[in-house]
Amino acid sequence: MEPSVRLTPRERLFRIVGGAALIAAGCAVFTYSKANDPENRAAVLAIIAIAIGSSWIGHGLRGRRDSLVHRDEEAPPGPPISPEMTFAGILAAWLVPGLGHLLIGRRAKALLYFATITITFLIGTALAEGRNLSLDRDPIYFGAYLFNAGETAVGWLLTRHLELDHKIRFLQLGLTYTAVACLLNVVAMMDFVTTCGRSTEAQARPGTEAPPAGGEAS
Amino acid sequence: MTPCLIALVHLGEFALLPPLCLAIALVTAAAHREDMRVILRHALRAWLVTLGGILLFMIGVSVFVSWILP
Repeated sequence: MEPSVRLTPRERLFRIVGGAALIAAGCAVFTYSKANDPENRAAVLAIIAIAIGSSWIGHGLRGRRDSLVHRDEEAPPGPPISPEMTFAGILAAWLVPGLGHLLIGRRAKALLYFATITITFLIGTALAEGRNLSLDRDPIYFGAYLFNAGETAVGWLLTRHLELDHKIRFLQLGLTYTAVACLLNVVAMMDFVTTCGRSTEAQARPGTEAPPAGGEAS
Repeated sequence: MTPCLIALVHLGEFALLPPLCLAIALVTAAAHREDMRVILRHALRAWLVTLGGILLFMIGVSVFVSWILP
């Protein structure tokens, strides 16, 4: 797989204009939703549109397009990983961020993913004073939380008795923090799958030596 | 309301965005690279660019609301 694709001038223009249009649409949706819906439930859609738009503008300005997760040509392949191990790793990463990487010996990345996602999740919960993990109050956000099952389950068990009985200044921001933390776990899981695929390909390719299990690429 | 005042009013919420931006920068950089030093360098650069973008956005919105919209 190509790590990045060079864009033609027409594609660059399309990316920049399209990205700006997406950001404008996201801002419009956010403003409209904030004015008409006290709970601003469409904020997630607006944030996603703005994020994709920013990414497109970045691709247009650089003239290159990257996939969300790509193989790093500088990285040596890891030890061979069986399909069962890959599946177990995805499940583990879904339950605890970074656990999949830990199972295949990528300790530094596992720690980075776990610390980053968990701290972001905890900051979101603190900003929302524990009222951010309710399926009844925030069903759209809860859809994002499902990508980080373990922390969501623990948080829900600990905060399910809390009611929204007073105005919380940073509730919206807390919801955003938590939702983004859980969606970042998807990126971590995709990176895990890519790492497993690279190791399997390297194993199949003759003349490629894999480092011993548990070794870091760095 | 002057742009500076509007910026200050919103600073409470905007000031809380940088940690979120840092988390996004770290995870996406980690998904693209393997070397921890390269990951941290890329994440830091992306974070600084994002902070600059947020600052420009605040200034732009403040100028728009204060002078252009009225």
